[in-house]
Amino acid sequence: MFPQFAGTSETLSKAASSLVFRIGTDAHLYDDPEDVNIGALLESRFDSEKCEALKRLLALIAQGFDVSNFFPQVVKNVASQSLEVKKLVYLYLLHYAEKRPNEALLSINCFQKDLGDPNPLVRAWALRAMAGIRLHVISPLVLVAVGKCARDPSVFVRKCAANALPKLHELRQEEITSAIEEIVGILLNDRSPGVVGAAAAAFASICPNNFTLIGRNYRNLCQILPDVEEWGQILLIEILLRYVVASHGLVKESIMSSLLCIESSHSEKDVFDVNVALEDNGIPSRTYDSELVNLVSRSYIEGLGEYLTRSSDTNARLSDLNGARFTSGQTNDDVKLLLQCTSPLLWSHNSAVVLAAAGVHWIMSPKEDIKRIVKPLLFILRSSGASKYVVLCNIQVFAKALPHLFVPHYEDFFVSSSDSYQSKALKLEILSSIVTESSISSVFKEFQDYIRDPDRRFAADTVAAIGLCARRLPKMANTCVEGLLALIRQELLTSDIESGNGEADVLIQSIISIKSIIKQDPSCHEKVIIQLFRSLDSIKVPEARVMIIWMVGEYSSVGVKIPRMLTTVLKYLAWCFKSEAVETKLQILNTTIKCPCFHI
Amino acid sequence: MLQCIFLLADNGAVILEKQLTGHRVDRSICDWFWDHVISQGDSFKSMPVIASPTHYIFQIVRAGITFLACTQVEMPPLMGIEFLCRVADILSDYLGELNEDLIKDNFVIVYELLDEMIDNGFPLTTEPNILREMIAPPNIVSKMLSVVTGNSSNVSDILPGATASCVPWRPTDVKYANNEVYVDLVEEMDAIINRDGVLVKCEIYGEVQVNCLLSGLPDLTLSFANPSILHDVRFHPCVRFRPWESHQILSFVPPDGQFKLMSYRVKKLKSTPIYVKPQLTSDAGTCRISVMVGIRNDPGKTIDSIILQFQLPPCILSADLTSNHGTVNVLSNKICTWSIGRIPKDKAPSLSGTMVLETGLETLRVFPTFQVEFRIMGVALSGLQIDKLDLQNVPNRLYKGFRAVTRAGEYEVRS
Repeated sequence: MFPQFAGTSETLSKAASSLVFRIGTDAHLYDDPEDVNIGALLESRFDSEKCEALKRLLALIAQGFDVSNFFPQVVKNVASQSLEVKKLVYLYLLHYAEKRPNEALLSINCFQKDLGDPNPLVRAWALRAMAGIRLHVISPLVLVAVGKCARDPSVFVRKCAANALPKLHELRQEEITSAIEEIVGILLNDRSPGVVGAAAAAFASICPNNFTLIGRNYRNLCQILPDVEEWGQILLIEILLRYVVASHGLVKESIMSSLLCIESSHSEKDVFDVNVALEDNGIPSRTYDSELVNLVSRSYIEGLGEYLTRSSDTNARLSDLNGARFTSGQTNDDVKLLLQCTSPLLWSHNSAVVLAAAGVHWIMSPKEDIKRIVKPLLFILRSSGASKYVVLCNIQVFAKALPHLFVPHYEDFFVSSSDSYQSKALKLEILSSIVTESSISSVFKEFQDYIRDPDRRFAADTVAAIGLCARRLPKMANTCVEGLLALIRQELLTSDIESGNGEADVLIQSIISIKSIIKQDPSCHEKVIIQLFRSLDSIKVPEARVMIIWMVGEYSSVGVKIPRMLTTVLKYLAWCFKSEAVETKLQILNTTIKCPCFHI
Repeated sequence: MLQCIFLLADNGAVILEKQLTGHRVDRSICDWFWDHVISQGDSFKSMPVIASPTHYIFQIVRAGITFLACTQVEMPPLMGIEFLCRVADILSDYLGELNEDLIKDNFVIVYELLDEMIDNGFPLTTEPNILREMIAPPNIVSKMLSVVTGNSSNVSDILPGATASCVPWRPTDVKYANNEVYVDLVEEMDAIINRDGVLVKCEIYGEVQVNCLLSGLPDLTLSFANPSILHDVRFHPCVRFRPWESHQILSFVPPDGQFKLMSYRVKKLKSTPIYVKPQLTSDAGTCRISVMVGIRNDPGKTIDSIILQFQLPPCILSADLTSNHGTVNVLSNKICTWSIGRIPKDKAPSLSGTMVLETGLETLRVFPTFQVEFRIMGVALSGLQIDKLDLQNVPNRLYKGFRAVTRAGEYEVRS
């Protein structure tokens, strides 16, 4: 009707709707928490006002302010009947208990009373709060509480008991350690998968080498593994794997063992190397480097964290640990059971579980069965974008050890423009490790497209990958060199190549790749060296000039044409010596010395 | 295990911190992280695992919010990354979407969620159904109620029955008047078309999303008509392995509400629904571009929301682009977007224009890649067909609904 009123009503309705959205939210607490007197609210009779005060305190904590001075007043509310108040008090308490130990102790009685509450949620919170206080004086009380809750009828409470154990253990009190481990053992034997998962986490942080606890329950643990929830599965898989390696040794038929085996013809090796010969049906089979086997086995038995942080002299002392043992995957039931129970986990929707299961198969599975990990790993690259980089790092290791596993799947490593730079670099490396004569033509077609990518760093990486492929597949060497020379010719037509420029990187990388190809068989590539030298005039980048001049010097006696050109070469180098960069000058001198002198 | 979680806004400011263990992690780690993001740019931002001088940092970025988790002990890195992804999923489920203001508006819920999801650095409860029972999501009604009654408690005082059952992903006492199950096939087409116009790779990544509104404890069986086309599969924890291993049948007790039952991939598709033909020619410092878009393989349903996006290479100073259908926008970061919508019946949409190269450059040597988006409602281009969906103990009225949609996923055309 009237434009000025319409404007107002629109702004009014906008304000009203934003008000509606902000009503009932805690936004006001975040923005201006200092406004109201928190202390007064905490003393109020009304639960709602106490909640308001506690939420304001939490807002301050979330922003990083220190509000520990309200501790005594907050603690007084721990016995509140309202669950909301209780929950908020617990959150505050757990944040500040270490700073105010004496006042935290005031609430212990209340927690102990709550441990007997008929509501399992209250029992669980009380246990979590007690364990979260982390004070030495109350650790016996907490131990008793945890022990009681480990036998609680509610699954949730038993799970919280398992979670409380590492907190107790962190207090580092010798006298309660064995009691804690006993409770871990009880919980590992629990019938509920949820509790077993939490118990596995407790085991991993408290007593990761206490393999008797695992040995007692091995079959049950393997069989309950598919039902344990995902986070517990990750840790439980690792624990079971380490148990099998510790009690049985490495599996003979697996890829791990074959990577550790050495040729028996290396008799000129260090005489102190003690080699373990494996007898198999009376026929001596491969020999293993026992040092390496010991190393690998110990790293699994002790757990990677422990192993990496130990200093090197203690490594020598623990050599009495017999790691150089082997077992057969075909006859050992424990190994077979573990492989069988982890196979379905390769289909889990949690990529950490898939990778852990793939790791078990990589280490324990016989070589003919190992290809079952390939498709699940490749699927993670597409279905879990955040996990792509970590899985690519692992695939890189697998592909270097067993390239034939990934050869049929080379298309999965084609670079997409949405990949991060690091993922692209990893994919290029993997492609160059798995390329074969049948796939090389499509791979090279892709590479040609990548070289035209606006990101010149990625283009330079592609050129390096071409060099790697050519080294692995010598039959393609000529094609590669032709392609690289064409690329260099094209690069030189662009006028603005300067050192440090992206284009310069591509040029330099092309020459590096050509150099590495020539190294394989210099006499075949005589013409290439000559061609490069002839283009020296148009190449201004010092790093590139250095390499070409080096090549002439290094291969100065190769073939027929190069020795004949040497006079011309040296004359040219002398003529441009004065205007060169320092590193080029040094290389010219180097080359001159290398050239045979009979023409001078 | 994890020691601390930080949520950072898109300017690096800390929105929220949650200390998880007794070892306090100082906020200076966030400053260190952000300094590196500023100095090293995108390559640092996309690294999911970073080693700082004091801690290992896991990071993911969703909707501009950076989720950081710090630890000083050795742990499987994917565990940290997957957990952060789960936190982001649950928060966006609870709050509707992820943005800084929503998190600040509901920080107590976020804090309580984090407290339930992770305890002493080890993930405790990440099942959406259980969390929803313990901590009620914010919605307009409960907010109004809390203002009116003064009771702003969203914390349940009853332990969810699901935590004790052997199907922990499903609440135990679910009742619906109408029993309904909806199954959606949500697919994304990934394709690479190279400079010569050849289709290098064409695959479909798909998800079977189920919305289950059934009472009690239903036991469902879902089978496909052609499961052999599935190249890869991944399942929700509720799916039983043995029926799939032996007969390719999905047998499961579903969670309540919306969930992702399985994800799959179908490979080696022969052709794409639309074609995009870019052409760039350059001469004496200017470059002419022309892009044509059209329908190649009509899927039978309308293709809509077609958008083409590409980044102008750094050597291009300015661009003047027009199209005969749809709108063209060039942003300041040199990303050009052409929103086509639907392909009209009478003409083929085409984009054309000229671009000026930087001084000294005669011809264009590097070529942009075009990202394509589209949506086709009502069809699953992989050809996957659902055969039947059965329910043990069928109630009186059961409604089953099936839908499909295909979008473009990682679909790129090189020029």
